Amino acid sequence: MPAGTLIVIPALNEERRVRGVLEGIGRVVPGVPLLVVDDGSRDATAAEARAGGARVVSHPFNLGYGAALQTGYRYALRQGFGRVLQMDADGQHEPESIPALIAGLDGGADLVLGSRFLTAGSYRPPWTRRMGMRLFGALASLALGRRVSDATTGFQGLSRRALAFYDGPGAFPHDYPDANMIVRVARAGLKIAEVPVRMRDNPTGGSLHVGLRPFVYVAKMIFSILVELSRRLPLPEA
Amino acid sequence: MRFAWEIAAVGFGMALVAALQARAGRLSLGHGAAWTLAGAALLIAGILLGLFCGARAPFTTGGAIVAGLALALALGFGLAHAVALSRLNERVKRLAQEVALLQATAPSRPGASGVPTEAGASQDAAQRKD
Repeated sequence: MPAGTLIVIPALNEERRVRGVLEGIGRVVPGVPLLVVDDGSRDATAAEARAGGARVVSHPFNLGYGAALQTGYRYALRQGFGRVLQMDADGQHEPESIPALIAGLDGGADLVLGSRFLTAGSYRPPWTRRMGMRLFGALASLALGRRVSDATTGFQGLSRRALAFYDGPGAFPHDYPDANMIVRVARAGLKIAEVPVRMRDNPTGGSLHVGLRPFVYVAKMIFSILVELSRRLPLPEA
Repeated sequence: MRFAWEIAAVGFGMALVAALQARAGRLSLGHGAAWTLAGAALLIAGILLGLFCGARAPFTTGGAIVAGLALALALGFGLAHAVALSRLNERVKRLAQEVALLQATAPSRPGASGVPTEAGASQDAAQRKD
């Protein structure tokens, strides 16, 4: 693992799984600094993360997945880290795929997307999610003029340039950043790469997208992609 | 009849303003999407009303203008409120992030933990001597 890499893990009420995730990462990349951003959990997520050897930033209340990620990016920038890998705290992202993300960053990419669909894996989301993933993949591909196989992945690597870009006021949505951010990053001239990663099915079957949320999410994401395409963006600082 | 077209016009205006505010970053994407969709729904409803129920419209021309303006005003206030709410929400979240980052990264202040510092302890001792 190159020096200056921080693994950021946003977590909400993951006391039962976060430690296992940290241990799994430690087995693949021993000694790597880990940051758990506790997004206002009501359980012992923060304590479990500390016990697992991670640094912890705790939001005073729930701010949303996007805000948790941005807190992690800001932490990395202020502590002088040169790059960030982001993973989920529910154990879906397999740590064995971390070297592939690192290799993508080493190859000069600013944003490396861990794609579930570039390799013949066992990850098989429900058909509703699969449809959403395909829709956003198609929209992102159309907007970027190149194929994006997995536009909704949360398993990503970011260069310092990408971190600085995301740190701007209003540059990063606090609720749920997704395919719209890929469009934004690409339009700002940052280099995007996709690498194959493996993911497990969510052990509890839980998801951010339950009830009416998928419909709201789809409407919002289509709207945000259209907004992104209509925006003029300044080039990020190097 | 006229009121139906006013509904459509207000819906169109609302969708346009909401989209432009979201584009400018003054309205959150969630609020932007909701208001744009609501505007589009009003636009479609107004058009359908105008096409199919025009003859049964309950308003006179003057009444339709007043009702249309009232609708536009109410929705304009709602949209302005959503913009203000979005900006406040953004600031609150930014502040909460800063608090969390400071708590995690700032060196602990002497005495903040309740444990006497060296300087504080010697001051206490000096006071006891007096």
